[in-house]
Amino acid sequence: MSSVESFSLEKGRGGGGTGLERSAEKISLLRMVFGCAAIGTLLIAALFAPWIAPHDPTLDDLFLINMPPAWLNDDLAYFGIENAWAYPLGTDSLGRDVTSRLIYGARLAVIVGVSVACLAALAGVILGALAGFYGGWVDNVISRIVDVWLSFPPVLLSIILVAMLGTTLTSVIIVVAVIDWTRFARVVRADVLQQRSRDYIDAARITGGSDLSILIREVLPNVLPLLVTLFFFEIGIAITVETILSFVSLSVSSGAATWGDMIAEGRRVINEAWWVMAFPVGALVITILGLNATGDALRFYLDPVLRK
Amino acid sequence: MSLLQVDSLSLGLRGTPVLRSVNLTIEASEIAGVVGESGAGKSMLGKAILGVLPRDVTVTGGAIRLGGTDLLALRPRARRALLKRDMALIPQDPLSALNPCRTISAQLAEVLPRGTVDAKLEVIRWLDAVRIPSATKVAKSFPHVLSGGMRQRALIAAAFASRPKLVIADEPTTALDVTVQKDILNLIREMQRETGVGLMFVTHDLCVVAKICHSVTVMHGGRVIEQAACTDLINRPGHAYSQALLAATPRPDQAGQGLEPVPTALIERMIAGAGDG
Amino acid sequence: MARLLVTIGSIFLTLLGVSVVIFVILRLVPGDPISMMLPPGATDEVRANLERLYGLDKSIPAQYVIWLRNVAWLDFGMSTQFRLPVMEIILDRLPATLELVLLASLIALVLAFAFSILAVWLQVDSATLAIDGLAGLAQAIPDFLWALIFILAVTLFAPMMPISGRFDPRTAQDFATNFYLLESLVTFRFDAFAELMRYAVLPALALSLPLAAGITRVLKGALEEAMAQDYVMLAQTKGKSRLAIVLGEALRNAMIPTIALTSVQLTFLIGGTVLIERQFSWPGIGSTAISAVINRDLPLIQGIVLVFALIFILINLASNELYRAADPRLRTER
Repeated sequence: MSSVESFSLEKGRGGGGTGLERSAEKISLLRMVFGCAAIGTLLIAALFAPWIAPHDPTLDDLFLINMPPAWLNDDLAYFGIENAWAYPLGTDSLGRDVTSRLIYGARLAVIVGVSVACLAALAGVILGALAGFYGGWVDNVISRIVDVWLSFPPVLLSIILVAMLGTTLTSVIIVVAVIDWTRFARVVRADVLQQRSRDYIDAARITGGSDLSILIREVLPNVLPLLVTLFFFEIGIAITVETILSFVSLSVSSGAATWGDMIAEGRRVINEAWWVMAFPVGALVITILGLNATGDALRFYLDPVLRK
Repeated sequence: MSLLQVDSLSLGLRGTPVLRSVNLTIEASEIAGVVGESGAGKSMLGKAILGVLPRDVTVTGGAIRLGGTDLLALRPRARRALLKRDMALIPQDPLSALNPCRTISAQLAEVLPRGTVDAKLEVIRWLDAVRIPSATKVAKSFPHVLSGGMRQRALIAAAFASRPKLVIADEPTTALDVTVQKDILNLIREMQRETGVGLMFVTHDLCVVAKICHSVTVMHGGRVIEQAACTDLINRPGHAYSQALLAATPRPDQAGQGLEPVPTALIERMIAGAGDG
Repeated sequence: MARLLVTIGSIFLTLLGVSVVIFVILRLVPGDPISMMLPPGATDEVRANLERLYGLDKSIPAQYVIWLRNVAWLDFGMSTQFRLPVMEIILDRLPATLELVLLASLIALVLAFAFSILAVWLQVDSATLAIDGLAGLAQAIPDFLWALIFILAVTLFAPMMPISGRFDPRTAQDFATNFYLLESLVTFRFDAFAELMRYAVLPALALSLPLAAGITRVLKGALEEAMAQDYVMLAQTKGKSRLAIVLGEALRNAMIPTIALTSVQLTFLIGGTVLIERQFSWPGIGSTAISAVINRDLPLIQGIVLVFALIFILINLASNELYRAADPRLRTER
């Protein structure tokens, strides 16, 4: 019974694959292209903000309150400007340029996202690897801490912690990393636990490798594809959490050009000026999707098991 | 008219032929053996008759007639109704062929013919018939509490309980312990005698064929190599491949003294043969 | 019986741990609830009286012991912000949150089961890809952003749709309990129910989408795996249609891994109410929690965090029991 089926499987792999397998490859390529485009745009905006942004993102102008985006702006005389495209995406309730705030917001998003992801990944990988590799009481203690972490609502915990540490950039980064390291720890622990029992780890032990070198040379490369994916996810999560903290007016001092601050402000004036919220929400959605797409695609390319 | 008639049936797997113009006839009350090594296409033949081919295997030609009805011409609903009424399968692996989340009784009751008055009683009667001890208790339990042999007995009960005309047994002893194989074979033969169904017995084991089959079809590479009455094939194999297959099988010397367990050497050879492709 | 005792014991231990952690964190929060309560120009004597009243003049361990003793009598202290017993506030607002969670879970389950079953039943590559894509999108975007997207869409295209509150304050709401949706349904007031649903559907949908996507992914994978099993082929030979096999044979088996993973996702959903309630001005304990943090209302924060922890623990327990019930192999012989 099984013979023809296994035959069919081998045939399917050798001969170019089934429809779904072929589309998996095509989809991964599409994801990579979209993800790189989104991340590239974000990075360019973040790096070159002072040169790209048409205006000072924090400059109020009481004559330019709630001005709609350029293509909808049909009352130039009222605002007293000549070229609507000087403010392509309109202005907010204090007359600040939405475009410039969006571009400067990318800066903070990148800083928060990358720092949090690095910190969380570092802490999570170290603790997870220790727990998985040594087992016993080390594993027990670390796993128990992870359990306690998971019985708090994460958003509420981050709000409480930021309230405690103060609303500075550093404290926001630390708080989000402190809350999210468990994500990495759980994955790494499970994977190391599984790898540890395999023969090639014993082989490395017999040839006289130290624990650390075995971990770094034999175990981590196997966890790497998943880690890369998680890392990209985490950047997106960190940017979202920063936005959330701004939204409940607990992030980097309000008034600064952050997407979260723009969204909070936009939510208040949504009936008068929908664009104040729409563009940062759009930027956030595209950023998150781009990061996730890149993470998924990279995993597909890095993981030999997924690829074939 | 024959019970089952397969006329020059061909199957393809995305263009690659799996069966090439296979002919097969099974009479009512007959046990027809289909023998071949792994990959010979014998299981696919059974699945094609039942209409449960894998998704990417398609019928590329030929006809399958059961009691004169062309199965391939039927609409899916009509074919399913006929399948439920007239055919049944005894599967290869009793461990995975019973749904772990449903009771034995539920999986047996659903095959009982329309109009069965007391399904519970009937299920227990069938479990008794296949000699499952404490049938009442087994009926209420889930598959995981039963041994492989007991599960295969339950599956045999399920196959015959629908009162079909044709039963296809797909290597029904391969996954079982050697000590249990003999009992299961005897049970299948006994049930077939009592009910008078036509039985298609798919196996790689000529020993088994010699014991219970009336006619034999030898398959290789999706083709039928030889078809003959069982005694003829055992005594005077016509085709070189049949001779080779037979030479590799210890002759069942004293007929009528019950079945011998399948010798380990043969199984090893089969495994080696499967490895070669 | 012994298992029950162990379970109850472990619930209490976890809650105790959570309460210690939150108590310590909160005492370190800078910002003083008393100053927020005092009118400008209050004397030191008034201040001292207030501190005594709320027990803030004692050491942190002493405060914890007092608090714990009171909690044993179901007294969670007084909210400094509302000047009402914490218990009263929580009991008043919990129903709104529970209804929202219930509705969101229901939507998630319906969407997830419908799409997974559809994908596996149809077995068409394009439909499978479309459903995978939708699930990927729904899962990638967090509930907070879904809520913003809905709010934007409603403002631009359906301004009549409410995006704030639980009901229209201009209409009289005479309900005996705070479970408005359930009560209107049970008392057959379908007009009121429809009106309440208009307010509830957007926040519930925003909460439910990531959960729906998570369940869809697990359930669809598990169904596909089940459909490749031998018992499915045997069911085919019993003349069952593909839909009957998906529903009658594969679904039960696919439920087992789904239950385990759904419980984790469900706690995410409940954590998400904190923000969603704030975004839609939904008067539940989530939005109350945020205002409690901002106003340094320590007793109220402690009470609400404990309620959340208790709900999380109960969900885990329920999912363990459900898991045992779904898998006959785990059931003990009686």
